[in-house]
Amino acid sequence: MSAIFKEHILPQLNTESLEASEVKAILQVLEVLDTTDHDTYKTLTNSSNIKSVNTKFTKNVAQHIYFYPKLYANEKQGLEFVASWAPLLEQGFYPDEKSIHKLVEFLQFSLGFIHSEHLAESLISQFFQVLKKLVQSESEASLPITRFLVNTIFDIRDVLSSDFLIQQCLKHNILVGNYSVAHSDQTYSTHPFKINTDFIQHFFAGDWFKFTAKLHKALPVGRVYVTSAYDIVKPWLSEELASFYKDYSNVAIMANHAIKERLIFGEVKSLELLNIKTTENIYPLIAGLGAKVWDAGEVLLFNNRDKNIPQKQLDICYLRFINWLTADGRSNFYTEAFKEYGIHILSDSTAEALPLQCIPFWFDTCHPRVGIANQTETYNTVFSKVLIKDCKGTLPLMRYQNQDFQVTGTFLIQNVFQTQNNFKAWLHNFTKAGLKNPLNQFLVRMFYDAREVLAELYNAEQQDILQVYLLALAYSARDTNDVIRTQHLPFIVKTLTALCTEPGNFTRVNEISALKNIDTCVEDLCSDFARGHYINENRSLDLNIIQAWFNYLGDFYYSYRQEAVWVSDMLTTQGVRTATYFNAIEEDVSYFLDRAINRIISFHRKCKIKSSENIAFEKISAEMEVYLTDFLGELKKDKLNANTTKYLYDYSLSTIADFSNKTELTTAIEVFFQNLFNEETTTKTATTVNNPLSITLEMEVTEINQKYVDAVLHNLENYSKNQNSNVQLLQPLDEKIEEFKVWLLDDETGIEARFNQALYMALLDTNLAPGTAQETYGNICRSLFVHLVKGTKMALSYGMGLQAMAKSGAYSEELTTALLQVVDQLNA
Amino acid sequence: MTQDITPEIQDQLNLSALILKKNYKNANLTSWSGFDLENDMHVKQAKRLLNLYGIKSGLHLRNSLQRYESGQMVSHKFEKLALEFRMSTTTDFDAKYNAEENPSTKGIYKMVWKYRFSLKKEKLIGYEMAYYIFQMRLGHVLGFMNTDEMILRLEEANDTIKSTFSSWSDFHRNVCLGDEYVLGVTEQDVSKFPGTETLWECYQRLHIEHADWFKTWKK
Repeated sequence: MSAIFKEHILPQLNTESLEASEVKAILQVLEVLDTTDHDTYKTLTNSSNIKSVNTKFTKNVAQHIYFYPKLYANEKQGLEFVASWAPLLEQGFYPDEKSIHKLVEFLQFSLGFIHSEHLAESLISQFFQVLKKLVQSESEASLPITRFLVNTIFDIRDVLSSDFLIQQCLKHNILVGNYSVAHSDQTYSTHPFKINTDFIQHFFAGDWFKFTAKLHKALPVGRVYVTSAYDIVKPWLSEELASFYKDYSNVAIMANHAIKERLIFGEVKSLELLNIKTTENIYPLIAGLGAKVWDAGEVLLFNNRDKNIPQKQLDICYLRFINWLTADGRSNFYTEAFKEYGIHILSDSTAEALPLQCIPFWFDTCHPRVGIANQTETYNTVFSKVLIKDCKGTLPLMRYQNQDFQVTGTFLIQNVFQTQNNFKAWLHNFTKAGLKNPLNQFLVRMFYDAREVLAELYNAEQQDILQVYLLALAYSARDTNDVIRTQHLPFIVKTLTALCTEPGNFTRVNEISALKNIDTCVEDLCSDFARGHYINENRSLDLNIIQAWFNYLGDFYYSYRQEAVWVSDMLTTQGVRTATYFNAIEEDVSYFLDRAINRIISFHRKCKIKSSENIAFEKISAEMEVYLTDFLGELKKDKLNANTTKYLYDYSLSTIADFSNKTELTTAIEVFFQNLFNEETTTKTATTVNNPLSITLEMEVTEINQKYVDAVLHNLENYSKNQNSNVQLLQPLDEKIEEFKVWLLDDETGIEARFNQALYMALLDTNLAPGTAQETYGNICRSLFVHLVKGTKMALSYGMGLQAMAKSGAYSEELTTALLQVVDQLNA
Repeated sequence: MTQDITPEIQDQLNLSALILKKNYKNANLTSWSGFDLENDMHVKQAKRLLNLYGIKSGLHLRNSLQRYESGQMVSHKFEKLALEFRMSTTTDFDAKYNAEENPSTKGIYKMVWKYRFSLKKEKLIGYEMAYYIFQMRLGHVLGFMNTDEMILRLEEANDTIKSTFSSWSDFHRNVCLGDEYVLGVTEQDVSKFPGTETLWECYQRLHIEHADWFKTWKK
């Protein structure tokens, strides 16, 4: 190492002009260089006047050691010369300004040589170690060398040299830590490598713009996948630089441009610079992204944003992004920038970060009719995840006007969609897509969220359209998966429940309650809804509803209480109310009540017959009994007609009905029957008196004539009303039956049919059944009936009728047997 | 849980065999629904038919059944016209017939005139109840109705039909007439679309394939 010293410097060393203290310094240098055996050293040591003086390493001494411009003429020699400084620098012997300027000059002219020739790696390493020591020294040497290095690494005119220097600086960690600046008063201040005012002052003449311009130019330059100037600058980035960018947004835009180019040409992200922030936590370059219209580059950059950036600074960028996606007929979708990066901006975000404007964008792009078909799937996937699947409530929390914004159905309807004018056409397009389309899922949530105010937002006609839409969507839920179905069906049903409140439209009510078949998750909702409409004590009753109640008895019964479940409530709670309703009606409702009671009794009978088969039937009959008890107990006694009362009374006595221990019910029926009986006794006299056809018991019947036949027929048709089953009157007819048949052949008034019908009715009358007081009258009727009907064309139908009645279970065993006998006789 | 089909139930199901075969040629008459629930094509066909009748749920199905059961579907209209015709003279009828321009209404007039007395009691109940059973079976494909309920309803449908008609041929004639009333007269037509069969063709085929089913009229 010291060879170059011995060879070239010592011989030239001229100490004559030096003072004693300086000579002493030279001696120390020689000691350090291990050249004590040299003549010069010996000569100097022997000088008498040095012992008493202090060592003083002056500028002059430094020049004696370091200033040898001729050595730089040979590059290799110059290199070795500088490399040999290392031990001296370690001892604090630094070159003076003049020598350093020479070195800088040498570097400027010889850098090309240093990296082009095949020099020993060790020599280069030593050389840069020396430079490092110089940079980090507190000496006059520090600033000039540092300035050279900084300028060179930003110098893109000689890429080879600057790249070489960059690699060496990084390798030897040269531009890290501190550098120092010499002041005129011989003091030194040390400065860290941080981009601040001092730094700019020292290296860029105080001009921030100059620095940023150089930095931006240098950013994209460099070899791919190799470290570059940016890697040196990276640790220098400071909040002051961020502040500068913040103050000069146009520079920030240029910075972004440079980062973009670096990303494109160098395939390296410049995350640290991009996400640079001020002390106030402001990210000026991200803000710079928001300041201009985007191209693909911004998408790339934005995708590299820091995750900690406050949402407020990002809002504008998201809007720019949406604009970029919308621009040029949404063709940016097909760019690499979108497929590689843009999609991540959306999919990596949560709804809380995305602007509300995403919703119209999504709907426009993926619209079932006018949307862009080949973009639909991508966006639907992204947005359905962000806005539907990950959403905690019904609708997401998003960003709007730089604020967190809870999206509400009302807001969407009023401000986003604004389709009140063409609501039908608008919904129509969505209807066909079905619930599997995420747009529809979102709409369902929107309407659900706004369900309380839909009545204010839409007029009646539109509400109807909306109901139809929701119904169609509900059915389309069958084509979706379980998750979507179980999430959205309840929304649909609840919205419909809120919409369909007008009484009276039972078609719609049924349609809505029918949705329960789609999935069990809405069964209860639908049943409650139906119950709310069918049994609503706040609304006045009308015949239609009551008719519906009785109609649904069928569904209730046949389905073993699984369908029309509200019927159970109706039966157990509405009896009194029904009666009150009918009591208040002045018109004659007996026909309606007759049919109603017939229906309920017919189902009661069915239940009783089958009660052993299933527990459900027992329950139904019990519920019906509750209803009948409540209803009949409250109903005014003149509301039922005679037939109904009798039918009810007869049924209540039958074994099938099994009312024996239902005292309250039987009493109620009894009261009706009693009432009827009383009425009849009061009107009986009048009827008898006014009846011109009444015939006395003493009347002698000698032949069949018109008068007699009329009398018999009258008696047959009216005996039950008059309580006058006149056996004596009927008896002769039975005896003269053949004569009567001949008589009938001549009759042209159709009396035969009336006769047969009257007899038929008598046959079915339980009061004439065998075992009762009027058994004889019944027996004669049966006999007459067989004689008259047998062999006629009506025989078959009467036979079947009787058989059906006999088997209906309404009659006692005796009467059933009697009726079946008649049938047998007819068929014989 | 699906119940077994007893011979008694099979006999009741057979009341809809003709209608079922007409609507779906490949139907398996010995199953509850007639459709193979495991076979997507079968289910699809059933869905298509249900759609045709506007049956989207169990409630729709039951409402439809009630309309068939109560005669609202066909019998009421038939009876109204028949009542009018029963009181008309041939001249009245001819005038009304000639005044009508719609050929299908003309067909209906002609038919009702012909049967105005003979179907006074039966009306078109046979046809309606056959449809009643057929729709139950269809609804079963999509689970709108379970077999328990079907059994309960079948029993009563059976009672209605068996007490209204006296034989299989009597009943089937009514089904055919109902079909003709609803769809218009179908005549043997060689140029018809392949794969479609008239009810009459179904009837013949059915009687060849399952001759023993339609012999005794079990009450």
